Amino acid sequence: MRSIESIAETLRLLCRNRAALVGLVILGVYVFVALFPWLLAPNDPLKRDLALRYRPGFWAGKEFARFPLGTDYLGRCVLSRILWGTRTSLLVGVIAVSISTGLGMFLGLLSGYFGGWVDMVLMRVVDVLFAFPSILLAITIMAALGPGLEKAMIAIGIVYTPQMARVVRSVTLVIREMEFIEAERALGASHARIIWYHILPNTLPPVVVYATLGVAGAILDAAALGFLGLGAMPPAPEWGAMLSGSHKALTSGAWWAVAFPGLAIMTAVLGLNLLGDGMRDLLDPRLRM
Amino acid sequence: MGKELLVVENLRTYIFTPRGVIRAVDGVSFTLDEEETLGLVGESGCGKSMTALSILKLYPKPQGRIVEGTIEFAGESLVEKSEKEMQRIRGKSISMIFQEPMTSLDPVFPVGEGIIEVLMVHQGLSRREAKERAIELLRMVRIPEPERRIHAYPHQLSGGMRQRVMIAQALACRPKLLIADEPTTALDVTVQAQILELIRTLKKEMKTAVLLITHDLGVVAEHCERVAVMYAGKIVEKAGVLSLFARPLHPYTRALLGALPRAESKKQRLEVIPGTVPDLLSPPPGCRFHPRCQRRIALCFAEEPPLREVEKGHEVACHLL
Repeated sequence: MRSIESIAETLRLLCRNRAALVGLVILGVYVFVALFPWLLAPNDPLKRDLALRYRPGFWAGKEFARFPLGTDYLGRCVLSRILWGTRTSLLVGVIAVSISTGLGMFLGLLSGYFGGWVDMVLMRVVDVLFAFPSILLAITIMAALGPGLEKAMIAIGIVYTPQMARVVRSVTLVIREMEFIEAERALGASHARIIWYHILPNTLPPVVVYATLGVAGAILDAAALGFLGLGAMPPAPEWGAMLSGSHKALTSGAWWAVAFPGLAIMTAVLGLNLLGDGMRDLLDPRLRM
Repeated sequence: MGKELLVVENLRTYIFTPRGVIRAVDGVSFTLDEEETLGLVGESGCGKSMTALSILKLYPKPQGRIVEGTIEFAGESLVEKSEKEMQRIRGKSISMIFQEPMTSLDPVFPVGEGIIEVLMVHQGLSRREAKERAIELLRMVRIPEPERRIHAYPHQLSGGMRQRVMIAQALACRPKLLIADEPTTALDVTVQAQILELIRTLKKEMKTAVLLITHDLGVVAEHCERVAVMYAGKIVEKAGVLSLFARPLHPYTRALLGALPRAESKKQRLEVIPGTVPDLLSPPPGCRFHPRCQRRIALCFAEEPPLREVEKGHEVACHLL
């Protein structure tokens, strides 16, 4: 019963935070699209027709309404591909971030709580991962794992792990020194109990914010891998792969084949960023009076 | 008086830092009987808190270490206990309440959770039983509407209320010893009196011994049966409370008492003790109080005075006596 109250409370606070609300609405729309693309897509996203290459969309006139956002280099409907690609992109973002959050929290909590040589060893490993430019690291991992969407998720998850580990570690370092942790010790709590029940929940606010923002980053990285041909296998619709397949279209004047997938990525990232920022304010228990 | 509950013998807890060894607790001995209240008094940084943390083995690790001495609690040696064994003692047989009620409760959980957790871990109660018992405990520490307050978050309670919650948490398992580390320093004067009164009442009800750490001699006079005065990691005077206030013998104890405001005094200004507590990285040779002592003699510079019984139950470490 209390959890229902607290969810209602969260929603009420969310409604007062305009930016977060906008973010939530954008994300809600994307989730809906991801769940039910066939309800919205006007055409089959995989159906190609070379006779209909690079056709403009609705702005060119009534007779072009069949492909509202035009067609790409193989004559496929851009709008339908964007809508179907939503599911892939969100999934990549969420799964990659889940991987990095899980690994990062594990490493960060251990490292921050125990300190000493545990911290030394773990953080040096993290430093090594940090030393690579993120996309290069992802490509390297993909080279080892082989191409494919699931492997892209794993690669991006690993790439984001060091940042999450650092965030969790720094928060853990602060919380570990707080009096209530000492008070817990004085009450006979074990290390595992302190880490799991007292430090972990206290690290969640920054982690949730960071993870939300991380989903946006992961979508971008997945798009970049897709652009390089390492993500989704063609002809599966995926935003990054759409950009990659159509970049030559820019020189031939068919801007829509690139602009709209780019816009889809941008809006999703914007929504997630707004939501992530809002969450930061929302998760402060002191605001709940 | 009851049997001896806690016997601390020649305890030395040192903290090893890159700058050198801090001798935070340097040869401290005292005993505490069952159901007794012992006051541990001294200025900031004299090793009072470190003594308390040593009993629970909660001194900073890995820098800190008990290098010598024994701590015997209810006939068992605590120094030899493993971390696992200590976890079963902490919160169950020995509890501690801290100075800062503001930060001593986990901010993400309702205050009842802490009490429920202690009961579930140490007494193996089910959640439901623990919750009922927690409400009882909150009522016992005089928190109004405990059924509702059990769901309150720490930031929704005042400092006094939070300290009451801490006390409820500490006493949940009816410990034999309660260590109170300056439990009222962070509170208003009126709330201080209420909290101390509460500790006294509950101590009687639960037959708990209390080690009360404070720098407030007024509190000691009202609540303790015996007092140990600490200076720079050592106990300089140990006595029954009446004896100490009637006949303070160590110059440091006298100076502390001289620095207290008194109702009958006509003097306008309070006396101060010149100088500060010595750096425990390099304590002065001889008697550690000699640089600030107004009655020092040549011997004080060279030789450390041992703690000697001057009259029955009154021990002092000073060359003058």
